[in-house]
Amino acid sequence: MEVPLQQSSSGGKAPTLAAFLDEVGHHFQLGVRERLAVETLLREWQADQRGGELRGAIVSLLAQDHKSWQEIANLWDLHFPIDSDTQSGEEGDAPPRGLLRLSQRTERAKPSRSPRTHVRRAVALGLVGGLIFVYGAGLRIWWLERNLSPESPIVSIPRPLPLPDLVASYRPVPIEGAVSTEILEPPPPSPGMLALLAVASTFLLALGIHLHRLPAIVGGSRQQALEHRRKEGHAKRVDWEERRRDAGLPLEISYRVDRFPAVSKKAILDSAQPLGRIFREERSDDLDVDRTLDRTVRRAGMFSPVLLSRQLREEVLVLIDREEGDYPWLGPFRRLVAAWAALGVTLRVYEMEGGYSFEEVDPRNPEGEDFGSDLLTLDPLTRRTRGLPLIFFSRHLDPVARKKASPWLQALPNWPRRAWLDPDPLPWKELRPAHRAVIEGWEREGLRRFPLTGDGIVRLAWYLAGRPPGRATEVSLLPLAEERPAAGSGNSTEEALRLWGLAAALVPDPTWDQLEAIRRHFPEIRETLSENRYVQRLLQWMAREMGAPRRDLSQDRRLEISREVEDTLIREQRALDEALPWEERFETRARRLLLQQLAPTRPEDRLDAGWWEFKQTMHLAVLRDEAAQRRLKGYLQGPWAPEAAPKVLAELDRQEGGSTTEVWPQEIREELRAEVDPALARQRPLRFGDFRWGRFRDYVFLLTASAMGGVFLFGLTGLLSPILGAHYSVTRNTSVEQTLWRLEEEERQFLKGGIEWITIDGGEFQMGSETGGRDEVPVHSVTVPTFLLSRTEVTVAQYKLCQAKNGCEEYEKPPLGFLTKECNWDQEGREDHPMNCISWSKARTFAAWAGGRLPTEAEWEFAARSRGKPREYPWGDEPADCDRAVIPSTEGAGCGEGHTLPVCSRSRGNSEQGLCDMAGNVWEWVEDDWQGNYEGAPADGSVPRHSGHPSRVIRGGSWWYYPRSARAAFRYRRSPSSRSDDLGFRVARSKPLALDPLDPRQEEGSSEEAP
Amino acid sequence: MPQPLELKSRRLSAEGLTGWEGKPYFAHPDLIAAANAALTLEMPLLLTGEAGCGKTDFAFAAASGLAGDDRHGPATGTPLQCYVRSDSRARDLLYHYDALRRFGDAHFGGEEGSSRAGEPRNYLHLEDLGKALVFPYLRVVLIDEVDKAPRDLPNDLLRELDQGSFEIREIPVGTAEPPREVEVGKPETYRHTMARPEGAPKPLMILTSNVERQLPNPFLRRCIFFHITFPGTDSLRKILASHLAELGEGPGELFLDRAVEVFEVLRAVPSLAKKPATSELICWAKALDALYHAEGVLSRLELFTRKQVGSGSSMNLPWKRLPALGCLIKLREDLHRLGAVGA
Repeated sequence: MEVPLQQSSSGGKAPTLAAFLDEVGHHFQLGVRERLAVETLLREWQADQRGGELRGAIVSLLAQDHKSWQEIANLWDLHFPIDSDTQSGEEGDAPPRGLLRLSQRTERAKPSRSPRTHVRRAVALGLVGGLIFVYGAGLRIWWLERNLSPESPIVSIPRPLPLPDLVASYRPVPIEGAVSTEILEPPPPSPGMLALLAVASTFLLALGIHLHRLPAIVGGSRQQALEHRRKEGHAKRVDWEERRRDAGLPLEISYRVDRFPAVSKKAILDSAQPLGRIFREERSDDLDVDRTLDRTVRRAGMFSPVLLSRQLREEVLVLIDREEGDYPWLGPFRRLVAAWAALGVTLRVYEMEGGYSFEEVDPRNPEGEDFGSDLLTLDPLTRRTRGLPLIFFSRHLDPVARKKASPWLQALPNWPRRAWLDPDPLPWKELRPAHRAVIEGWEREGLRRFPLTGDGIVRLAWYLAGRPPGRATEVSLLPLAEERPAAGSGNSTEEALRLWGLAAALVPDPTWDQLEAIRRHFPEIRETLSENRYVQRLLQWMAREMGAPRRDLSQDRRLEISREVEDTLIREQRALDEALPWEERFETRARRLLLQQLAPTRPEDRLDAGWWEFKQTMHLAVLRDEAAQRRLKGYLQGPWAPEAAPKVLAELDRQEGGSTTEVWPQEIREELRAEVDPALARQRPLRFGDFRWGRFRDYVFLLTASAMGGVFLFGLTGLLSPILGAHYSVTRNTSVEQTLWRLEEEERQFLKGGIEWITIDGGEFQMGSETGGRDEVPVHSVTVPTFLLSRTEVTVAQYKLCQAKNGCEEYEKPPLGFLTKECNWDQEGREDHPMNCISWSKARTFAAWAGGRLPTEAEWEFAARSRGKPREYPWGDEPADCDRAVIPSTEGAGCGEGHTLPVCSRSRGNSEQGLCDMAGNVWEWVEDDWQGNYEGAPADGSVPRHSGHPSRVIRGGSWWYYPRSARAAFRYRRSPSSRSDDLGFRVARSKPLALDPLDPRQEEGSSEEAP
Repeated sequence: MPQPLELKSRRLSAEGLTGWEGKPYFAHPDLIAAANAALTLEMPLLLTGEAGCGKTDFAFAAASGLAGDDRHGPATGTPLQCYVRSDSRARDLLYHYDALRRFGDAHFGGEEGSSRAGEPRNYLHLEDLGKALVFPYLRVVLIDEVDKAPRDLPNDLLRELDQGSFEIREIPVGTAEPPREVEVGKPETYRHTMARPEGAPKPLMILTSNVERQLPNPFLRRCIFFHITFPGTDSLRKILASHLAELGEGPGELFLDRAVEVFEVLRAVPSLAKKPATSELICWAKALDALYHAEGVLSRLELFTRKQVGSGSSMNLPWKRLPALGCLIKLREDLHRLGAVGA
């Protein structure tokens, strides 16, 4: 026998084709057929060296429409990025690497059944719990903070000072002594919101769990995964069968089973006899000469023929309600009909769907192809069959509950003799109440109910024939005689059912015909459960066994047996039979039967052949056939792996789980176990999140699920806290007045502090320069105490503020003249330019209002030399240029602009302490009077020199004056009333800004006093 | 009797395919790959695509491509064609049984007739699909517009497509089997189960479908699927050039470029009920070539280039002035949409 995928053992890497196929399988239907085709294609083309065409070929093979073609092609491109040498459509290329193998085998399976599983499980559970707690607690804290915190922005405090054109933001500062702590009740949670939250999070959590990833992550539970896979496999198979049925192919996967009618042969004979003797009167072709003469010719004087009557055999109308197709009792009943027809009963058989459309079928072959008739509706049906005796076969066409049946009810009188054959053969006592109600409803409509048992059939036949059976007894109707299993106590019934169930579980998913064949085969079952109808008992038993007593298994087309039940049954039976010799054990015999039922020849269809082979191999392997045991491995690697792996695994578990009989030798078991896990891992159900996040999706999912749990916990604690009486302590600033006062101070500081103060730490330095002008000598040592200097020259905006606050007098622009063309006051867009065209005294007034004064000449030079360093400029000795200072350049004054520039526009020229524009932009007033040189200059830099000279010193150069005047040591002078457009100022302050509260009124007063 | 050939794997290559009436056919490499997959796996090839994109033509091309090998026997260069109608049944594609003639022969044909009527094989005639299935060498069989058929037809064909054999019901099972292999055209060799000689390749079945209707799933699963997209500029140009070449020395390069560009601009007009297809392009280009002066046409075509469209809508071009517009646009509503119908 051929084992699929022989070539999978060859070496090499990159098992990407398998991954590609898996991925395609997740998104589209990908069955064994497709995998086989791909495999064939690879094998055939590999020899041919046709790598380049593979993409088009495989994608075309897997796709079913244009959209899926493109999607699959994209998947392909993802898995096999186009190499430079592989162009689609080109010939003679080497086949894409790694395409030679369909299954991946290189990674050795990690044994998933590690002894540490439960440790991992506990850790994972702890992790999830912890995450949930963190989320929940975090949310709760955040929520409380948001709702209770007094730090929430106080926006209602009115502005202490009117500031028309200034936008200021305030932040209240807690003041010591003005703070108190009080206990607050939490705001009452809104129950509606919390309930909504709880419902939403519960739903989300349930969704998360339903997506069956959470349990798998937490537990890594293999049993669950197995069961899930089994279900999926079953669903796939149902799907497969449906497609087969669509294609008109036989449904058995591999077992060929004899099919039997619903009742015993004796019952068929007994019922066929009365059914075949139903006659009706009909006029024959023969002329009744006497009566014709007598009635017409003699009396009426004309010839009008009167025909003789004769007895004709009546057809029996059989209506079969086939519902959707093939439900359990349909096949056996159809066979019963065929048996009747073979015995000569004339039948007219219609199958109906939903009580509306009827299709005539061949009574001799009711399971065969269509009879070539059209579908009828109820009306033509009644017209054609009026008066015939009716056998109505239906499971639950409910005349009472279903409105649909009403046309039916009106049509019933068309058939005066009518009987209902109820396929549910349970005795009256065990019927469900709903079913009883249906029966009673039909009985009221004159439709007698007969169960589908031997006895029931015979009674029905005699009822329709209108004569009692042989003996002169009445046809007894409700309730029918109770029927019990023929022989033996309940115990043996139970035993027989168990054996039956076991054999069924070995199939598994047997059809009803399969069940019947099994029953007939084993004497121990047959003798106790003597009739077909006992299938109903098996169903009940199985439903109880699978823990689903409410479910009516007879709704299915197959008996779906869960793997757990199958496993239990086999284990039980093995334990029971342990004493018996191998050949006599029930499982051995059952597997032999199944092997025998497997068709002797391999099916032609490759798909069928695959199933067939696997089944055969599996049975043989358990029957201690060594060759088969070896072959099993092949199935774990091939397209059948999803189906085969769970079965092999279950069998391995059974053998290692305590059974003393060794079915498979040790080494085979080990080999198989190594294959099972990767086979299981390969097929995984499609999950939420498969489309994104790649391999991290599990973790993403874990996080989101935990977040859901956290939201839930949050809702829960919100509901509980008022009940538990929790309190929240809160710190709150109670002194509003002080807060206001503090605010005012902040604002005052802001107003004056529109000026940015930079502290210049004191020190000793050499003032003056030997290389400069005559007024810069002698170089002498000066000590400067620590002071503050404004970072920038005072700007227009700052001066405006002073004026608005009445700190400075109304400013008047000087009349237009040679040095007053570029005054910045009232010039659009020059708010941040230095204030120029200002006299020495006005500058002093501003300085006083701002809480400071003009710097002394020594302080100024100390600052300009970046704390007194022996250098030419604030930055060093490199000559001034337009990169560092606003000075005249070759392009014109003010670096070509022709006026001042905004303060701090040349940050490269800043001093090391961060002072801007110490060189250039505008001249700056200092406090000192002019003196021709430094003769007799004080050694204390904080003392200004008052020599009585009418001019004042200006320093720092300007946008308009020679670049060399920007040197730190350069001195110049102007009259105090000079208001030129290249002259501004900056302010200094002797002591650090006081952080203790100042009396605002006092300050205001002092500024007003300034001249 | 022709010997079945030992052909391991047959394949098409993109070069040298000739379609309908010997015109060269330019196939997309993926289409060739799909066809080769169909050949290797012996599965039918289902082609979909817009009308006029060359689905049917590909069957001819494939037949020509596979006929390159002399061993395949005579007359394989053209595909066997089955055209389905809305009332076709699966059996109609396989064989025809003339019951009426047999009846006539039996009752009114005299002695000769009634003796002939004794043999049902005399009234059997294989249809193209049936022929292809029993041919001893590789044939291409085209089932055109399979979506036009009743929904059951594809399903009914599943078995034949899968197994490559079919049954003739009129020949009862169990009658003496003719000793010879089935031979097309010789009814005396027909039998109940018609199958090709052992070892002979299954025919390459090419089914075409407009994407109008979804085909049944089981059917789709048994097919290699390929969607032929509308040819790009280069292909159109190649196709057009090859078709116009026979008209003489061939048109100028400029004319080809322009014609294809105008054609694509016209196809880009939104909401055309029926976009012009390749065949319309060829017809139109031939008309231009035959009826108009080359210079005049070129200058006229300049009106419809992409440059003219610019950022506006291609719908607003003066389509009325396009020469031989009737070759391209066949529907009155489309003409209306283009403003090409005189008041």
